[in-house]
Amino acid sequence: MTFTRFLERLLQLIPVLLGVSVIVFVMMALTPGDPVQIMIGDQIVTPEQEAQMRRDLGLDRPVVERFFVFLGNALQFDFGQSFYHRRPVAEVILERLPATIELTVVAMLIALFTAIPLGVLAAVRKNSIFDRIATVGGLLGVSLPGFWFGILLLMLFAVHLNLLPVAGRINYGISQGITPYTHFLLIDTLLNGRFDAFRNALAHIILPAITLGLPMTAILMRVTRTAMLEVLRADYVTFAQAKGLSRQRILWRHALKNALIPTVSVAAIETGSLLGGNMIIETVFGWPGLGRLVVESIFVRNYPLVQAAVLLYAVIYVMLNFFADILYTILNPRVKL
Amino acid sequence: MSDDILLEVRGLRTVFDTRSGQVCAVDGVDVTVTRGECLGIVGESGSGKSVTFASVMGLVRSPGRIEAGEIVFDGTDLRKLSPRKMQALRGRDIAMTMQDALTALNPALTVGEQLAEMLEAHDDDLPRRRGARRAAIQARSVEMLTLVGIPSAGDRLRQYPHEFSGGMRQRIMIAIALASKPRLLIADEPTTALDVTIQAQVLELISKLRAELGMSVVLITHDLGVVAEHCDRVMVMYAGQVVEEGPTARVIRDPRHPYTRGLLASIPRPALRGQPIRPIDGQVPDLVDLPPQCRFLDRCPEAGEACRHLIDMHPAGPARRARCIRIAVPETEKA
Ligand SMILES: Nc1ncnc2c1ncn2[C@@H]1O[C@H](COP(=O)(O)OP(=O)(O)O)[C@@H](O)[C@H]1O
Ligand code: SF4
Ligand SMILES: [Mg+2]
Repeated sequence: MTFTRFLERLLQLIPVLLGVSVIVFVMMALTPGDPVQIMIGDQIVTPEQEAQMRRDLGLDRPVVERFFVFLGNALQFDFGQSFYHRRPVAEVILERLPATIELTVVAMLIALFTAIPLGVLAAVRKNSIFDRIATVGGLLGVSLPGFWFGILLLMLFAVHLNLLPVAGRINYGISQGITPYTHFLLIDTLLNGRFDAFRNALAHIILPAITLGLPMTAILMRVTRTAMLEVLRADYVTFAQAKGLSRQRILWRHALKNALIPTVSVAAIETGSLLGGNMIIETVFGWPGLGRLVVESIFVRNYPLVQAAVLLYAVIYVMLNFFADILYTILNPRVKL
Repeated sequence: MSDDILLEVRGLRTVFDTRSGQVCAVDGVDVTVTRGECLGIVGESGSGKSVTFASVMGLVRSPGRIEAGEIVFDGTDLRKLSPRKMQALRGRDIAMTMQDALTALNPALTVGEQLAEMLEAHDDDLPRRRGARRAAIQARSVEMLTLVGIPSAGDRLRQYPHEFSGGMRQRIMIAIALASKPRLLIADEPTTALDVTIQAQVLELISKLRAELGMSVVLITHDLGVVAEHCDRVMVMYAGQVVEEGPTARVIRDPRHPYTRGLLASIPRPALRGQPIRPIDGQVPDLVDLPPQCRFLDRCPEAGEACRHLIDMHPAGPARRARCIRIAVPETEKA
């Protein structure tokens, strides 16, 4: 059953990826700016040299033809060369991916571990001052622009209080001599037994992760609160009380186990939207991840990289949705696998 | 005599503040349960049976609240207990099964866990050491499920409520409630959702366990046949009040309140059991802003001008009372 659903999802991916490719191609074609001109910059080149560059990059062909060439290559997992790096796009992306995944996962964990307890408390103390503050905070969380909140945090913790670093993943000096087993710095530093480096990496990731996770925290808090309010009215909560169980057990086991079903599904889906947030947050915090790379690549019209990255985002997004489905099944015993 | 009283409720009044006004779901109800007895509570749906005993358990939820009354269990006024002490008493001394077993069991937890947590909370004989404790809990859980007639209990402990039939879920709920060997079991319509054979099994089970454990049982039902078969005494409720109470056999043989007569008349006599009762034309009155008159007035075939007052409970023979002005107590029965 799960396997057929997995195949279904894979098949669904095909039209999604096709659609996404077309959109990206059209958008890139419509945006003004010419990669060759950008690459030339202030250098002086002859028209012949310029034409040669254009031919090298395949930009002398019409857009439609370029699209089909791209599609044909992509089917063989060849995404071409990054104009800017002059290296295969896949290689460049893979290099930057771990930093983004690490940031996303930490942001998600922070969101989960703050949103769920806060949501539970807001539901238990419905209409209390705490609930109201949480509600307003949640509204701000979804509506404040991430970059603005990020800059605010930077000003406070990095500039004024000087407690945390301003940018990057780790201090260059400290990062030396760490074997990158996993390419996730928080894990690698520990595997190398380098606790100083671990602390340094943690200090770097904390502000961007909080900023990135903020809207998700707000959303998950609302979902948890709503689900808890619903669940707390259920007969099985009354029966659990009639059994003389402790308040804590009723809340965190009986009620939350049910309330988590929608919360976790939404969390899995929302993780996809963190990918979008990454582009802005990584730029604000100078985080050397894929998001910032994509932003930079858009500026220099590095078409192949942007196309490949967007396809990757689409794949991850669809997979997260599938994962949310599976999680739902696991958490909800009434749905058979 | 009063040493024999396990639960005594006096003048209980439980209200719900709703948008359309204050619903007085329970209005001046007295209940007495003696040790070891089975008390039947009957009445149409909405007459306040469940709310009465939710009040006893301290489980009335907002917008409801207990406005007045004393609830004395084994000499302690439960309304004066701290929430902590009340929690300690719930499940351990007074256990309850709920009307709908499908919604009362947690769908996300296995039956084993829901049984085990009851034992964890109340079984003081469990060993302290973790391994031994777990083994003891497992053994006791299997014992309880087997007791209520669920085969291959060991395997079924790992299953979730939805994997059981309706009758089994009801029995699981009873197993959970009885796991703590309570002194009082409140069984709220334990058989309403079940078919006749399973109904009989579940009731037999409760009777058997009552005899074995020496506990008292409050059996809420709207089936007078069930009461006739299993209860020593019966209390008939109507629109938030007790309208008649007394020893089951005598109440059934010679009902004193017109409502009780209506209930009895609506049951096919010989069998005295079966479908939910649909007595007498008309409906239970709206419990908001009740006029000061007999609550049964609109439906009563014997109503008259004299019934347009608040009616008290009147003595109606030995150990019997009824809320009607027309009770004629035969001379021979007068105390
Ligand atoms: N949550 C509630 N809000 C408002 N009124 C309620 C609520 N629960 C119960 N009631 C009122 O209490 C009355 C008695 O309910 P209940 O005790 O469940 O009846 P029974 O168990 O006899 O069928 C209902 O008719 C209803 O008017
Ligand atoms: S008091 Fe009057 S209306 Fe009420 S039950 Fe008795 S006869 Fe009927
Ligand atoms: Mg009821």
